[in-house]
Amino acid sequence: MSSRQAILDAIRRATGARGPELVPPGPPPEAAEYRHALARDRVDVFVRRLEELGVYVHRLEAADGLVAVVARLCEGRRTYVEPALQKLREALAEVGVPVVGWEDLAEAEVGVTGADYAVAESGTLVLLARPDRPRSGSLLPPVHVAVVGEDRVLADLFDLVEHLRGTSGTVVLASGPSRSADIEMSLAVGVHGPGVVHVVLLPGQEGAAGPAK
Amino acid sequence: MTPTAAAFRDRSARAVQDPALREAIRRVTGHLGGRRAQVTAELPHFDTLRERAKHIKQHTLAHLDRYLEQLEHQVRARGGHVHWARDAEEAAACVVRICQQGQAKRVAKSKSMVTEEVELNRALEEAGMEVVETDLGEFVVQISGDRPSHLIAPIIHKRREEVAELFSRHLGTPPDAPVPVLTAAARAHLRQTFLRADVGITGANFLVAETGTVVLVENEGNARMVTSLPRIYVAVAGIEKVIPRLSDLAVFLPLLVRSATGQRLSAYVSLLSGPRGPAEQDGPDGFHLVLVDNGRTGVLADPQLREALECVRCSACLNVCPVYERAGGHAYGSVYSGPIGAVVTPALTGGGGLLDLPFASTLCGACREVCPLRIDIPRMLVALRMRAQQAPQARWERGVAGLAAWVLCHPTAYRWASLVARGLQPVVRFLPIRPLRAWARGRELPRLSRRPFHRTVAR
Amino acid sequence: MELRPARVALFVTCLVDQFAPEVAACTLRVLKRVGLRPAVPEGQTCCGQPLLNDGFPRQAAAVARRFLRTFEPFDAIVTPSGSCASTVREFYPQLLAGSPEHAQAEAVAGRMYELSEFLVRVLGVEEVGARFPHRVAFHPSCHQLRALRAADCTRTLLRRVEGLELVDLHHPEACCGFGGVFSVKFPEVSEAMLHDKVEDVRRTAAEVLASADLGCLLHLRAGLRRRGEPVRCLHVAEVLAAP
Repeated sequence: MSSRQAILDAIRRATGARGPELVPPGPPPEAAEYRHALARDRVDVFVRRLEELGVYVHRLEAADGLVAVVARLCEGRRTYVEPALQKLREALAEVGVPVVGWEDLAEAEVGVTGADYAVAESGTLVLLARPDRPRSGSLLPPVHVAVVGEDRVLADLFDLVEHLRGTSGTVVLASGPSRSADIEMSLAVGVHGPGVVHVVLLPGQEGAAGPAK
Repeated sequence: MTPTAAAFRDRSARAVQDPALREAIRRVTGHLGGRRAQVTAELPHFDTLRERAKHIKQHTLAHLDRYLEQLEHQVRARGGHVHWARDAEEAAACVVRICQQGQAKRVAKSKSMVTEEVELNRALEEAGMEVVETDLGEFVVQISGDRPSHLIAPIIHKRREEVAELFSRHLGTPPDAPVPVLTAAARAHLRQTFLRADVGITGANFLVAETGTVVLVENEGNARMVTSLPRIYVAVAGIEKVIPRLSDLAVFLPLLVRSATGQRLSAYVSLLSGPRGPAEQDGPDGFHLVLVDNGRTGVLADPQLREALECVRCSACLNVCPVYERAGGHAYGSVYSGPIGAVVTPALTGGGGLLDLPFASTLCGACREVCPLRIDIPRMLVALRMRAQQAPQARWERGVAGLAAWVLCHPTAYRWASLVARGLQPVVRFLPIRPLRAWARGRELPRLSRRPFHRTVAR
Repeated sequence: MELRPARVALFVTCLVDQFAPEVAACTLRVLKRVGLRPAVPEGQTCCGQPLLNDGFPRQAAAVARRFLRTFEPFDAIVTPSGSCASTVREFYPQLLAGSPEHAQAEAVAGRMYELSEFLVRVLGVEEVGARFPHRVAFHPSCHQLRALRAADCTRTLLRRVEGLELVDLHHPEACCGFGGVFSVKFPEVSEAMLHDKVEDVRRTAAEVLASADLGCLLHLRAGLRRRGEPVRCLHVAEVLAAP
């Protein structure tokens, strides 16, 4: 008998009795007031949570300031810009940012990516891996610059799982810089992932980040 | 897993003599526990999430066959492979085989309890592979030949100076390097590991049946590295890790993370479904999920212990446990330490040779109170004590218990026993009665009253 | 509170019977002060908790059956022990599940009270007319605190005692390390826990350490005496019965 069969048989022998019904998904009623306030102030909460996590937030009043802000953050350092931000990549190269390609990602000092969603409650960026949004762009360089539209900010995980329904690929939720407290509980950032995170928040509709396809 | 917990008393007695260990543990558990209290109080619906999580786990365990089959189906539909392992040997052999078939030499691991449980590293090394633990704490454990002593803070028992000394030998950092320097050295060293590894191995915090997704919760980014860069990815997970729906993560992630580290969400949560797509630039070509039983179906079949399978390994119970705080994680002699470890270890191994582990608790109930799943750990410890008392070694204790029960059921005998005890009172400290001696080491023996209350009433 | 239980029984507990009969006398005095005439049923011994916690449920069940027979006729059973009250209330129904006595266990479990919670929650009494002009630290036992959630009842009662100055321990929720058989199976860890509790008590500069469980009190007294601390260990009933 295969191990698979043996395990499934053992489970069936063990679980004669019926368990409770599966509770319906969605936020519990007890959370209504809390979530209402969260949804109302979601962009402000998002910014506050990011700052608490040590993330630098750049809130733009107009999308046309984007190139200047990101260029300043890159400060002449080797910068990888993910393919989803093709226009931004070209604009940065034009103003003299040393933009590097995929093959030089491991040496890049800054990684610029969009984000498909953000979660206000936990200061979280949500990135869906896909051909023009590779996983490593936000992971390998020591500095991560994420560009996200305010309209992509969701209140909490209940909202996020609703939006992720039907997503089939890999999703990463990133909240603040890479961190470890393994040595005597003293916080160290940038352990493996980026130690510095910038979030550039674009106003209104359809920022450079763009929605998930 | 080679539990040797029969020596809990010896090991805990040594730990008690080590004030630095105590201080180190207290710093971590106090810190984590304090933050946990703060961020759980922040959510008005936290207790509702606990109840929901409990229901979802109970439901899933009752239909575990169905959800595992659904999980398997979904992983395959996304191009992944699913393997089943009955025990530790099968699990380790399975991972070795995956590596060999992929002609892999270098393995990068992120922190995982189940791979510790099945002693995967040893099997991989015996098969000639180079295995590197990439979680900072686990890396320290590996290069020092040590064992983790806390579920989420593996080197809770090590001081900074020890780590600095270790790194100066292995990585060439100054012997008195501060933590940021140590971290930077580990980053530079392990970055090469990630870039060169053929295989990435992780555990799993959750497995989503509906979507075939492996969910990983971490803070350093090493799990992201080992699931993004190597060409083969292997997730090793206990069969109890499955949850039905992606939406259930909105219940479980806040419970786990807030209870574990007191964060609102960990720095990274990865939801991994299948290998990279055809046009993707990174991600593994091979996606493997190894489902491990290793005693879990036995626990499932055990109505008294099934609840232990609801554990999400947050370690909140360790952080409030007064015994863990003094004894340290190594005293438990197993990868799973603390109150839940005292249940899980004997439960998974069928209890052999673990006679004193379930007794290593005052049953103070602090663990049950903080558990996000409200797992009744004291109740299970008592159930395991009953089994331990069936062992041949417990003959004497069974005899005493039988006699005591008989006396307590017969008031006349009880009254006579009271008289006899009073007769022995003057010499009791000289009697070779082990429990009395143990008590009297550092504590005065209490004295029986001159006359018991029942005699006063009788008069 | 209007519906006063008509027939009230005192469960002395084996520890009080053997080590501190004055606690039972004081419990009776307190109950009489609030107008009750509790019975002390003959033939009572122990609730069986030590057997249960040591892994002898069958033997504990035999003791539980004896307990149920003794106390079944009463409307309320009051005991000066959070630990014993929680055993009867929480574990008897589990222990006797599936046996003919299960219904009886459920019924008696519903009528079992620790002294403080009985006074405050059942009788609605917060002041018992005691006078005790001393600085008192209160150690809630783990069972009273977490199983019965009744530690605040004791605090309420102590605050209303004339002249009593109630001081807080830094870690009132910390276990004293007794745990019955634990204290002799793992004496080193048990002593380490006791040591910290004793240190906590010492720092409050309390004259008296009060608790609602004799198990804890015997352990605390054993530790305080060995360290030569002059703090008196008293049961809450003794404080409430003063003068």
